[in-house]
Amino acid sequence: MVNVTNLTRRYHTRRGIENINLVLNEGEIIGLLGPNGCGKTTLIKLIMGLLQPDEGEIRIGAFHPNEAYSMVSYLPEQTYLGVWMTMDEAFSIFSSFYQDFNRQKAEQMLADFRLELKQPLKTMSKGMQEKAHLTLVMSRDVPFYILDEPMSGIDPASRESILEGILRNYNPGSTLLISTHLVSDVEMLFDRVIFMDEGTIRLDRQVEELRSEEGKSVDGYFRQFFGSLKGESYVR
Amino acid sequence: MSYAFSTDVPIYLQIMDIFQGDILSGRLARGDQLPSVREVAMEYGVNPNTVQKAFYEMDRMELTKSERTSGRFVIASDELIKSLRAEKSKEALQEFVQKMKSLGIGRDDTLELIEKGWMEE
Repeated sequence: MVNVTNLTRRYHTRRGIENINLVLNEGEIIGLLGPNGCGKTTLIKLIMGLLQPDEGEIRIGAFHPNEAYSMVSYLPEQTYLGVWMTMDEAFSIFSSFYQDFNRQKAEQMLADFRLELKQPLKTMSKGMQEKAHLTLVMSRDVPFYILDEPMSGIDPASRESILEGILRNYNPGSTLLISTHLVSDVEMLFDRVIFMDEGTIRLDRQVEELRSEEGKSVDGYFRQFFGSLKGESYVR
Repeated sequence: MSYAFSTDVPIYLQIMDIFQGDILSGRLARGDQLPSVREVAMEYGVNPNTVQKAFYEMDRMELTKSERTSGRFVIASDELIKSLRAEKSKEALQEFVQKMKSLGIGRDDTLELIEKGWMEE
């Protein structure tokens, strides 16, 4: 579904990503994990065509990211919705923008989240806004979803309903890439996890295999993994 | 949703345990239909592929069978249930005996505790 080959993107003032190779398959739910600043969002923005690579290439199906907007539904780290907007208005905008927007599904999901069609976003809490945005993103029928930190800034009680919203509304045949640093809350969702650090991929594994071979949860393994990386840098 | 799985053991094995338990206890009898993959994934808050894998394994063990159009059904034979029960009870017993030994409780005291506990449960 998604092919990333020798992808490099450098910034002047900070590290970008370096020589990333990746294949994301149909029907997979992939966790993109790593500490803040490890390059997750840079990789996602490159896949979305929001950044251009210095080297390497990306294919989404047969397409270049710039031509694949109708195949990908993206939840950015920060919301771009106008705060004055109601969900009703946001639905209209999405309907006119995306032919694949399923309004019926969106209304159902909004009801599941106990949000109101007529409520302006500015009167919603951060958790409610996140749910509102997730509703828009998951209500498109596309082969590829990217959710960048869908849980950040959300209280633990709401995280569960967000998880359920994701599970209930994604197409089982589609690919789902979720970046997060809150591993324990979402690890039950993943088929596969990718650990990133300092702009490179450090680990790419099937989670059930990881659990049986390491005898650890993804969260436990993640902590150990990045704990020991940190240990190394202290020695240096 | 969400169920107290231990995340350091493969989830599909734990899902198999839940359904095997239902079959052994008779909550799911031969001919009964299992819930769909999606329903189970939602109920337990896990990846549908994980549920699918658990169900494939149970099909392979001939505990269940998937009919392409109508769903998945329990087909376990009496012998299979018997041998699975023997296997599962052996595991449970080993764990229990080890635990009692680690608590410093001897055989006779353990037997007495079992008698008492059985009445109370």
